[in-house]
Amino acid sequence: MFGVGYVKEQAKASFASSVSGVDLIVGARTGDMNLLLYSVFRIGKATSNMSWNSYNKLAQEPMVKWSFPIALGDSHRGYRVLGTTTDYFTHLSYAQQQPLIFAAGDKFGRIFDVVVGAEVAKKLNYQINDNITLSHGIGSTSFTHHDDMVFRIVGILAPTGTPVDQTLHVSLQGLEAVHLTKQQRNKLLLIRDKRITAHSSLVPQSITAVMVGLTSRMGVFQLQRKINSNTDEPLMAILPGVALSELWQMMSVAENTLALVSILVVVSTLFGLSAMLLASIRERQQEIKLLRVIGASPFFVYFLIELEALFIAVLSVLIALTALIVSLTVANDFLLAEYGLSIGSNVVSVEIIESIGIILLLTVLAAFPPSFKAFYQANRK
Amino acid sequence: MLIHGYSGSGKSTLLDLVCGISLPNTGSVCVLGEQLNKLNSRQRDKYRALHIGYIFQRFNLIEYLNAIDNIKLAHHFASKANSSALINHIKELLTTLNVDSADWYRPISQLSVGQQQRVGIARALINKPRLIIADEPTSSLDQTAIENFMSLLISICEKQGTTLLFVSHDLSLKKYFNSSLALSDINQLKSN
Repeated sequence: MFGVGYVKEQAKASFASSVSGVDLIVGARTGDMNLLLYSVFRIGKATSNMSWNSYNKLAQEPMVKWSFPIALGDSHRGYRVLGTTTDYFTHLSYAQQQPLIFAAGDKFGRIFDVVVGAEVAKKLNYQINDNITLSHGIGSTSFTHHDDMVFRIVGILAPTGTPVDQTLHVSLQGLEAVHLTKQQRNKLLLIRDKRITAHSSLVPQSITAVMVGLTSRMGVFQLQRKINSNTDEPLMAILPGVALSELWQMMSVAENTLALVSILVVVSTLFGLSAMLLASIRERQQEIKLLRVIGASPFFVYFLIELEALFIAVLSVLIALTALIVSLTVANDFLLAEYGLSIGSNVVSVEIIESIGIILLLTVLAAFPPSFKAFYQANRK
Repeated sequence: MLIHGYSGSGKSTLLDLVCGISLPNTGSVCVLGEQLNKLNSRQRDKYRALHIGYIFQRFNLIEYLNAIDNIKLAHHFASKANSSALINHIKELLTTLNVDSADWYRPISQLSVGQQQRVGIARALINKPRLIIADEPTSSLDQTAIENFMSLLISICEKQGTTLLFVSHDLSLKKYFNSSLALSDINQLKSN
C-alpha cells in the first residue's frame, strides 16, 4: 500500500518537473493531451505541423520573453530524435528552475551535429565525436535507413530525470536533411562543416511545436486566447500545468482503483490477524489464569493482547518500508531508463506517517475482539 | 494442611474463593484475617500478589519466558521496585530449590517437568507470601521427583513460617502434613 501511494506521488512529481520551465506550448490545433504528450514527453506523433512563419511571429510578441521551436519525428535505436534550435539549451529548465547542464561537450553548431541526453549516452555507450546514423520514422528498426545521414555527437547532457535524458537533439536543419532526396542531400554534404547561420540556405519548413517563456505569468491567458483564435493558421496554446492535471484527471479512475485495492488488502490482513488472535486466546487459557493468580488485573490481560497485535503491526510496517526502500533503490535505474521516471528512495513523508498512524489505529480496533475475549475469560474465573 | 479429593468436586471453586479470584454469592471469605469479599477487584488482585503464592499442577510458568523472568513477573504485580537485590534473591531461591544455574536463562519449555515445578515454587515464594496454595502440584511428577518436591516445599514453608494449603487426590502425601481435610466434608451444597 505504501508503494502504490509513494510511486503515484513520485510519478506525478517527476512529470511535473518535466514541464516546470515552460509557460506555454504552442502547436497545430489538435488536442491538448496530444500536444502535451508529444512535445514534452515525446510520446506519439504530431498529426499536423505549424509553419516557421508562425514561430517567427510568435517570437516577436511583446509578452514573449523567450521561445524555441521543436520538431519531432524520427528515432534512433528506440530513442526519439528532436530537432530544435540552440535556444533549447539556453532556455529549457526543469524541476526547480534547473537549467540544462552539459556533462560533456557543447551545443550543436553544424547541420550534422547532435547532442544526446544522459540515458541515451549511457545505454548506447556514446561519447563525444562518435558517429551515429539517424533513420526515418519511429521504432528501433526501420525500413528506410539513410546511411549517408551520419551525425556526430558534440555534446552529452547531464541527467535530468525528465524525457530530455532519452532524447537526441539535432538542429532543425539536420532533421530536415534526413527527409531530403539523395540529390539534395549530396548538395548539403558539401557544406556540412559550415556553421548554421540565419542566412543558411536551409530554412526549416515546418515545426511541430514551440515552447514559450513569458515575461510575466499574468499574461498567459491573454496570449493563449490570442493564439487559439488566430485565423491565419490553426494553432493552439496550452498551459503545461493545466494540461498535466487534465491528464491526471483522466487517469484518476485507474489510480483510485489501485489505491482501493491496496487498502482492501490491508483491511483483509487485519481481519486475518484478528481471527488468528481470537483463536489463540482459547489456547492461552492457562496462561491467562496464571496471570490472574499472580495478581494481574483483567485489564492487564486486555492490554497484553492489544500490545501483541500492535507489536505485530509495527513490525510489519517496518518490514514493508524496508522492502519498499530496497526495491525502489534497485528499480530506480530501470525505471529511469525505460520510462523516464525518476523515483527517489526517500519514502518518508507526511502522508506515509498518516497512513501508518491509521493502520495502527485500525490494528487496535481489529485486536479488540480477541483482547476482549481474553478480558472476559480473565474476569469470569 | 492437606485437602484431599478429586478434581471437579468443587476444588477449583474453593481455591478461587480463597485466593480472591471469585467472590461468594452469600456469606464472607476471610483469609489471613482479611475479609476478601469486602475488597474490590483491584484490591483483591493486589492482596493476592502480596500475600498468596499459588502453585499449579501444570502450566505454572509462561513458556516463552525463562525462569528468572517468570519470577520477576510475579514480583512485578506485588510492587514496582526492581533491583539487583531482587535478582540475587531470585537466584538464592532457585539454588535452594536445586535448580541449576545453567537453566536459569533458558526458556521454560526446555526444562523438565520436575524443574518447572521447582521454579514454580520459587515464583510462588518470591513475594514472601503468608499463604501458599498448591493445587495438585505433584500430580505430573514421578515418585522421586515428588519426594524432592515435597521435602523442599515443606522445609521452605517451615523456615519462612508460611501456611501451606495443599490440595491433592494423592493420600500418600498425608505424612507430610499436620492436618488434613476431606473435600467432601467441607463441600456441602444446600438445596432449596
